[in-house]
Amino acid sequence: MKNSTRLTINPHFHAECLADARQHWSVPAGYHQLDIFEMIWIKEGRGTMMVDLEKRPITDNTLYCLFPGQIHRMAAEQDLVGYKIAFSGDFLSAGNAAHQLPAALNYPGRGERIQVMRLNSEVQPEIEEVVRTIVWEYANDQQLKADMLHGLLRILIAYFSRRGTYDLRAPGNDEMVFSRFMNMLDRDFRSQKQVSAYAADMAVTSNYLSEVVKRVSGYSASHHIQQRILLEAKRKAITTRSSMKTIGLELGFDDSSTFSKFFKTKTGVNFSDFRSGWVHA
Amino acid sequence: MKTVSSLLTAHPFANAGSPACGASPLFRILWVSDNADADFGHLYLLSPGSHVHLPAGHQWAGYLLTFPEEMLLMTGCRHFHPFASFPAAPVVWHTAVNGSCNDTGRYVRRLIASLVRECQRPSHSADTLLPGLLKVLLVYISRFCQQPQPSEPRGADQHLFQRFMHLIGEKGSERKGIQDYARALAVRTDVLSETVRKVSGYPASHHIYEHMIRTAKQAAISSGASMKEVAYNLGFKDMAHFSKFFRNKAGMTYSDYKKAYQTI
Repeated sequence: MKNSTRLTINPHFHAECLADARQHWSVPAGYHQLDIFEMIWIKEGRGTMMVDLEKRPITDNTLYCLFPGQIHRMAAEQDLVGYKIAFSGDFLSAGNAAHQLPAALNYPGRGERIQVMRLNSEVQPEIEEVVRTIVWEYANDQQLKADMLHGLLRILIAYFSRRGTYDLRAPGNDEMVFSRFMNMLDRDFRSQKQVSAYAADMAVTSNYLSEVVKRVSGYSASHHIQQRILLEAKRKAITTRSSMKTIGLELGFDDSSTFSKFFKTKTGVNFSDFRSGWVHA
Repeated sequence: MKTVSSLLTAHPFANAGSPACGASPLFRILWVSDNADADFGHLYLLSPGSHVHLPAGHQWAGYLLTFPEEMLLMTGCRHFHPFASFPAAPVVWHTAVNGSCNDTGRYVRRLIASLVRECQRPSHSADTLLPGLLKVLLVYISRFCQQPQPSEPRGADQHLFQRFMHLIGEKGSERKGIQDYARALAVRTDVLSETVRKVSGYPASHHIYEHMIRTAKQAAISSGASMKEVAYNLGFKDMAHFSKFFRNKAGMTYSDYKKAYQTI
């Protein structure tokens, strides 16, 4: 037990102005897989934001939230003006073991779609103030720097959570079980593909787990497992040059024909067509 | 489970006299602006048990925020100066803030206004924003209150007291008795206890216990640890002993405390 949980900034937190990093940002082929959260605020700019398999035109005054594991790419048609703030889940929970991610960043809040918030003229000045303060604090070494950044980050996320598309009440038991399952899935899907294995790790029965997952998300637990594997396969197909065999192995398929068949039946296209479709798009 | 919005009260006040600032068991933050000059304000931090008198003859208006110690633990601000030294003695910190010439002053004023606004909202919606706002405000207050670096302690007694307090904060869980501390500081036990009492007004054991109870409370709030784990980590071998210790100091049992304040 630690006497007090001290926050550390490196490597858990990072903030920058987009304009400073333009060269880095518009690398043409640059699909980039995240290992932490990123909040990107585009104040002005035109271009395309691609997150996983979705493309969106970039518009002024938009706040994007990207999750660990997602692949993304920003193609700017003109100079982008804005800020990027990156942080890990650990930084956000500040060493609090029982801490749950805020609804907006937790699994029920992560739809299939890009998480964006269009800022109207009412909140825009407030968010700009918070973001600018974050960038300033990050660049300067004031007393309690990490605590300050943590507080400001929570404010920013609270604004993001106010889009009101989901439930802000404290999560119920079903939601807690579901998000624990999704967290474990994120960590273990490469090696563990049975619902019963996840249930055993969570010390619940398979039936109970399937029921809860179905109740919360509308899909079965095995569906989530399959979708998670497929998502990673697609991400790897786009971001790496590894062969299908290597990617299959990485995802826990010893036999590449099993992987190939799995990919084909679930997505409707075969692996190499999928890849060439994306790479040449 | 208590939420941030249920523990924090914030409201504006405006009257000819001074706001109710007698002694209270809660922490209070008082923002007063002078009606004559809206940009200029005074920020007061009142620790539990302290009171303040605003100079009479002015039209004061401003905001008053109140919260219990648990709020500091829930938002992870307990180790900030000046809260870390509480409850050595009731203290009032005061600083004048000029909002017209510096960004920090302006931002602090807007932060307090936002806190007051958020407190009026329905709790499930306020609770997303309040903890962050409060934490940022407390960091600013901590920066305002920052004393000159204590590199030059005023005397040998002060110096010994500081080293003693530092040692408690650092390794509070490994030492228990004052003898252990005296040995670590290479002074005689009676010298240490005499000095601590002289400088702080409290016996050494008071500071040691305060640190223990604070550590236990923090663990209950943020780590979800069971009473056994906490007791063991604080060096208690007897569970009943720890249980009684906690109940005496915190006013409720460990599990009630955890149920009431645990932040999930």
